[in-house]
Amino acid sequence: MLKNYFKIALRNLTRNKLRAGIHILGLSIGISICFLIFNIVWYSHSFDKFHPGLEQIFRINTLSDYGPGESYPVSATPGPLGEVIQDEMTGVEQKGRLNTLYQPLVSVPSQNRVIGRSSEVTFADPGFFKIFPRIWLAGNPETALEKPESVVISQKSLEKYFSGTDPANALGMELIWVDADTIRAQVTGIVEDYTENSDFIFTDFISYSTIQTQEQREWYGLHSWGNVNSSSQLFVKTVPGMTLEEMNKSFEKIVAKNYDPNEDGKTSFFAEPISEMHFGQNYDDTTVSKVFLDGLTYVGLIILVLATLNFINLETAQAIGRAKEVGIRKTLGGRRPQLIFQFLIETYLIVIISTALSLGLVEILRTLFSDYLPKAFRLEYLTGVNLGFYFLFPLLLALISGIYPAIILSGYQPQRALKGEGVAQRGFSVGVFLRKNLTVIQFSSSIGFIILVLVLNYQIRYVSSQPLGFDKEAVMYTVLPFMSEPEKMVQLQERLIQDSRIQGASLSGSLATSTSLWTSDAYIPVDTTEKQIYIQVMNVDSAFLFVNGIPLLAGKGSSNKEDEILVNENFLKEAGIEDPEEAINLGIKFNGDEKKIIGVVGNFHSRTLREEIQPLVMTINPEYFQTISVKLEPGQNLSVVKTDLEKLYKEIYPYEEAEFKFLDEEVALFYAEDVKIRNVLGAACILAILISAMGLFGLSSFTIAQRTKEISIRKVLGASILQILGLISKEYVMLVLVSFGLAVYPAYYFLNDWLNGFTYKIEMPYFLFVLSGIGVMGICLIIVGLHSYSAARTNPAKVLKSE
Amino acid sequence: MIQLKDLDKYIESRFQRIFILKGLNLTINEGEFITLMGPSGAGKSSLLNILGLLDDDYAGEYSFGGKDIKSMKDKERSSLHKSEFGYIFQAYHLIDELTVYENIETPLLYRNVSSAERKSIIANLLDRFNMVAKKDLFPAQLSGGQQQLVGVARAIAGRPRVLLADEPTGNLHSGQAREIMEVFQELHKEGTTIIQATHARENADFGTRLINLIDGRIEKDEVIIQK
Repeated sequence: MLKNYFKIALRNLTRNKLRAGIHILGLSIGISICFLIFNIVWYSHSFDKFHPGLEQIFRINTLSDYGPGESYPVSATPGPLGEVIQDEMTGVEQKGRLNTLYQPLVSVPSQNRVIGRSSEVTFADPGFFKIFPRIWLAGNPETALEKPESVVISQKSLEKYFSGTDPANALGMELIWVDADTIRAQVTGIVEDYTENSDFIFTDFISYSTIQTQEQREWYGLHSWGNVNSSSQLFVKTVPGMTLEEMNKSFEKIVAKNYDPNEDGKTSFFAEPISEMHFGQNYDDTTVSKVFLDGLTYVGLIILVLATLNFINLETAQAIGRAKEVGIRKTLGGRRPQLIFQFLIETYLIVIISTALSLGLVEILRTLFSDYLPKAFRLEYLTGVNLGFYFLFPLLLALISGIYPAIILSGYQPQRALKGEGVAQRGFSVGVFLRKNLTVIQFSSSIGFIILVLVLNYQIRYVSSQPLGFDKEAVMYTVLPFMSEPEKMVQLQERLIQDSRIQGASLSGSLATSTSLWTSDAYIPVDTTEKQIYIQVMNVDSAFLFVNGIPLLAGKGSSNKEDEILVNENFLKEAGIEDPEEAINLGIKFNGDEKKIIGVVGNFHSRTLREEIQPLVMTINPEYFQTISVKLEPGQNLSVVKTDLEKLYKEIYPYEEAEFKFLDEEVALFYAEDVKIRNVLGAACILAILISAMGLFGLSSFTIAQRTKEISIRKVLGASILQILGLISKEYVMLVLVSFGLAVYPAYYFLNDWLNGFTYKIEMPYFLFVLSGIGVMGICLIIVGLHSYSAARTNPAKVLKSE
Repeated sequence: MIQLKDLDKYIESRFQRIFILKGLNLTINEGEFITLMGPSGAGKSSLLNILGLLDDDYAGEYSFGGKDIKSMKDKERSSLHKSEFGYIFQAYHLIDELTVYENIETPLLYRNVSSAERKSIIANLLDRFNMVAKKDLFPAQLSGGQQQLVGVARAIAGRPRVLLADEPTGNLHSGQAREIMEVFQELHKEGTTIIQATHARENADFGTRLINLIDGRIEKDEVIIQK
């Protein structure tokens, strides 16, 4: 029986090659996207799920609340909490503390070798390994991290530092990390690296007790309850049965004891289940937001729904062709459940073939979208989960998409179906109604996607073409080592200027435009009182204006004196000074010191165009310079210059990684997230159009074939081809119009929201809405036109004769 | 075996009932070979559909083997339908996607006949109708007469007691028609009850009883004496 079903299903497929092709291609696109998204979502949920007693492990977070809209959650805790938590709170079975280091320089003194900077180094207390046990290759797990200046390294580090050394022989070796301070420690243990996905990327665990003196504590920001540094991590393992709510409740006691209730900001602590860590803040910035994952899931589902709708649509439209078979089978003794089963089998076969094809498509998608996938994400086809996917998903999909057509088909009365009248439609028919609605849904989502993509693109082009107020072309920059000596920075700057290809070089705390922000308050004398202005501060040297091409409106540029500042136009506006010249030599108070305005610069966008230009003060503080930017002579071979600059950088900072980047690329990065959204939507858009077009192609070929007789009679009665085209197209024009109406509002709603995030934005471009509608209408008419044209061209005598 | 009492079949239209069959009383005994004749629209097909349990939208009484059809449960009726009736159509109604062999096999599949038994039944039938060489062809590759032979083979594969044929020779030329009729006669001799509807008077000569239907009523019911 089953064999018979499969056989007839297969023959049906090969008989209607076009129909089968449309079905299979459409479905496989949907499935491949679902598969990819399923894997990404699964991957993102797979982090740190393997620790024993997972439900009882939490990371403690801190929330600083300064009133509505100003609450700042940080995935870190003040140092003292880590010291007292076990004493002041019941239910804590074990605590583990980390204090991560920011890119220290690692070296191996025995080999006189500098390894380079690593972001996988942290201080850790013995409790950390009790909560997160490891496999130990050497050393004593109990005592390894007890003494100061001990370090436990992973196998990966062992390979890197002491290549080829046996774990047991590496014990006692010395390592040095240079942060701001120099940390020396002896290897007391070697552990295996995790093989599962984990956010604990660390390979060097220096004993927490190495931080001994008050001075060290202050340096790491661990000394007071008022200081929360994102490096300071606290984990707890609770006694079984303790809930998140109970934990958060018992934190209140600790807060009450250690914080003054009259303080401005309210501090509170809350526990984060360790399995959620990947969606919060982790240690290599690879977190994914749940919102993004959800968005991705929705896009995937929409595409799948479209593909499924296609299937249902075409299948029910084809029903008439199958009616005869249903009639015969019923006459021969087939019962309805058997027929439903048969049609489901047929659907299942299509879904299975589509699934197989989709695995090929996944590879294409994966290459196309490799930039959007999580970095360490790899697609493995033969994992248990994926095998489950291959098995269950087609079953489910076949059931969902096949059940409606199967029920419709199997419901025909045999004696009427055999005469061909059981499916004649009189008045209102659910089938036709549904079919039209499904088509409308497909069109609306296509139109919606197109509108979104067009408008997003329009705005992105608008913001990237806006004048920024400075010259971003031919400017290269690089990041300086953290807390580098000012002399070395100046040395680098001088060496750079000597190069004839370079017009100028400037040291600064941040780039002319960047995501980093330093804000403060300035006080200027107005009449007898002082006026407070909320300002943005930039730390720059005298060459900054020249290198970045920022115009000077009045006064002179800076001469690297700490009591002189520059301000921008908006500062004057805020201060109520109309003529820039008036501001020169004006004294203002800022950062506790008296400063003198010596120049006024034009407004420029130092942040993204989402934000307004703030009143700006340019000051100088050479110790905190972090970047160096250079202005190139025009007409240089950029890649040669880049290599030469990096070589020079290496001469001054031999142990650092050197990389010079272009400022305009940095600016483009501001909108990277938007470009990403646009591209993902763009791809979704193309797929939606493709699937809808395929669906329409199949559907219209079918409905037009049904109307051949009508067309022929009309032709005999004297209708022209054009009139017939109009007749058939009218119906589809209506469908597109309805779809357009449905698509406009959701698209508008989303776009309005998105555009409101920009201070500098386009007016809602309604013409793009109309354009999208017209575009889809065009595609629709072309597809329908192709079919109806050939139908209208057939010789009516032929059609009517065979009737 | 079959008894119809006061059987009505009608369509409700807006102003009146249009009767297709009206006040039909008919008794059919096992082993009869009945020919239904009458002009188009006289109700021949409707009667066959009702007899074959394909249509249960009628008034009046229909009992099969002494049991009232209307009082049967769906399942009972369905199994009666499967075990007792075979159908032959004017337009053959073979499944286009299945080969000759598979077409004949289909009713057996619905009857849950075992694989070995299916094979032997089909082999016998193919042999009987001289179609062994054509068993892997598709219906479209056969002539009308051959298609109808497959139709007959398929109808009798499940060994039904009653064979219902709606204009079985309507699409065939006289030679082919004769062949089919001879097959019917043979089946009748083996004990199968046959009820056929036809327009051709000469087909009635193969049967034992001729019923003339006009406007849904039995106009004439005569016994045919076999030559």
